[in-house]
Amino acid sequence: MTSRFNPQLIAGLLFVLIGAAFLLSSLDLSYGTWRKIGPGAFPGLVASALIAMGVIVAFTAEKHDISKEQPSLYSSKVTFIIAAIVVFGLVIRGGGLLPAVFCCCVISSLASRPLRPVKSMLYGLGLGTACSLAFVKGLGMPVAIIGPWFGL
Amino acid sequence: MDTLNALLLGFDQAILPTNLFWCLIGTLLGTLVGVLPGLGPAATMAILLPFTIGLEPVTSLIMMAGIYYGAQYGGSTTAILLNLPGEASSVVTAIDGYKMARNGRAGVALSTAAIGSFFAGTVATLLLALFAPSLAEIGLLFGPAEYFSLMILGLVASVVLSRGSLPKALAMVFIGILVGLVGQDVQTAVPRFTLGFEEMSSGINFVVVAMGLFGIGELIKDLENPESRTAINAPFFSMIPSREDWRRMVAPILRGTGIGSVLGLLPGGGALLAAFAAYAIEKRVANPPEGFGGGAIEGVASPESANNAGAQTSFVPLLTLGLPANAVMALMFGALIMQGIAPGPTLISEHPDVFWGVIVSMWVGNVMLLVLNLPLIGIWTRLLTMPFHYLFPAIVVFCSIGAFSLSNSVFDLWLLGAFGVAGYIFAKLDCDPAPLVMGLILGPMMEENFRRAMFLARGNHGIFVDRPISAGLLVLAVLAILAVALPKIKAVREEAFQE
Repeated sequence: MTSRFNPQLIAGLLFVLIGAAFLLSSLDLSYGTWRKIGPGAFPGLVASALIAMGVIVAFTAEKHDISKEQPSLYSSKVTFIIAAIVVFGLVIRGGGLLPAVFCCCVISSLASRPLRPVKSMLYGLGLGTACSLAFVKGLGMPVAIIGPWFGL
Repeated sequence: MDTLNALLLGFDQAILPTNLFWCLIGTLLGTLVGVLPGLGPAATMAILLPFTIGLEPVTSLIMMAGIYYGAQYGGSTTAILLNLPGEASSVVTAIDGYKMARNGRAGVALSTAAIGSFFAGTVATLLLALFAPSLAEIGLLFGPAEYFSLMILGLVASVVLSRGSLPKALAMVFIGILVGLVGQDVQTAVPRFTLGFEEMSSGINFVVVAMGLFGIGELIKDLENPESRTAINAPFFSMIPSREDWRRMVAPILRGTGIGSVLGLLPGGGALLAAFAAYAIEKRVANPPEGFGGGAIEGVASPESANNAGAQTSFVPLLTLGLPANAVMALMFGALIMQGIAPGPTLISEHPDVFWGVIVSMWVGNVMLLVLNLPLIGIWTRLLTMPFHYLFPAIVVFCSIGAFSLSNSVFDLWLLGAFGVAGYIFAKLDCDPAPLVMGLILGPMMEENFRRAMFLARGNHGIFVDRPISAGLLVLAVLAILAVALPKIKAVREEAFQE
């Protein structure tokens, strides 16, 4: 049994998509002449090559890739890890390093089971304190430990 | 005599207390992250790189080099104690090393790895000091056309040696080049592919890309496949090899050192290739009583020497020609650029203190590994069995702080998230991110040299084959592709026949 939606095929299509996106936006830039090559030419060339590779990857996939199982691309773990980074970014300026590390740590620990809310909060607090001491006090990172949100 | 003086200059740099201190921190941090599950040297360096930026150029490079060896050493430790190679180049070490550990000879296996690495590191450092300057002189003859061809060769080599299919790896290189071109065009100042973001006009910071692809990507992958990590509890008995062990390890260490030193020089070579080749050759030459795979000390001594020698000599193309030979060297390249130092043939003459300081400190780093890490082995093993759910939030936190501190910009965190997702998807689709990072680093330089060469040749695109050095490099690149393509065709055919 061969499934058409195997990782090879998805990878190939992804390559074509990325290549096409870059190729299209390179068309807005000047290609110049052979002597004076413009800013669009080299990316255009590479993007075309990427599309070609994508086609090859997708094409060979159909022929002899006896796909085992469909990889499930989605995973809740990704969401938690990425959310942790994004929340860190949202909090760091206004909230300061300690709250940012705390949130980042607690959210990312949701990615692993079993859940231990109290432990992970304590751990986040400890990690936040350690990072604040090391990076702000120790290495002079230009960011507040407790930011303006808390009115301090 | 010149080399000796230069080495002395390097020593002056390397034994400065600050440099010694950061070398120590680097090796310790490197080992620490290296023993953590799934994080190899590239990921380790990507995560720790932002924290070296505030240091002096020499110091930060010394620390980076320390992180690199530390991570490698950590990789072999997990290979021996857990049968979990922390990185690809210790895969072969795990075969016999883990068996030795099971036989109650974990201590001896670890010290063999350390002794072999130290010897190989010493020899490779000397070779580096002897030959790098003359290679740099050749590099001085290079014009834009030669540089363009050299980079083609570098990229091809990285593709040829990456795992997975050739078209896939090539596609990854191309994506890397395109991502590297994001930002203002150097010659015309036109913004390219910035999607209208002001923050992207100066380009995407390569650390964020590397951290996202290697660090976050690998982390999520590890979370999905939790491994049972039970360290061998066999008593260590003795770390000291017996007379018999010594006798048996001498020849493999010498062979491994030789193979590693040579293979490390090749673009695309480095530690990984060296270790595999050394093990393969050792299998033919030596005849241990246990047999290979049964806990032969030769099977640890040779690849461990080879990967360290290879790791060391793979600095040669970087420091002399400005060509990073693999993903780890690409990260070193990025670190140099961020320090305002352009790696290339002029590095030796313009920054002799940096060049020789780094070379000598590699050796100092090896000494530190030998004297510090062997006694600390107990701590590392305890770390190995530390529950993963304590470790990974800390890694996510360090990545976030690191990305933010690059330019105190929140935008880099959004990019980190985006490349983390990309890294995860690539891992799922079985695409090795290493070629992408190579493309990312080499892409902008390739374009620059391509445009300069064409301008100098007045639009004659024959320039790349008209100039002999350039033509030679291109021929090598074509040969490398063919060499891989042919056996692949064979393998595919064999598969087809079997069906």
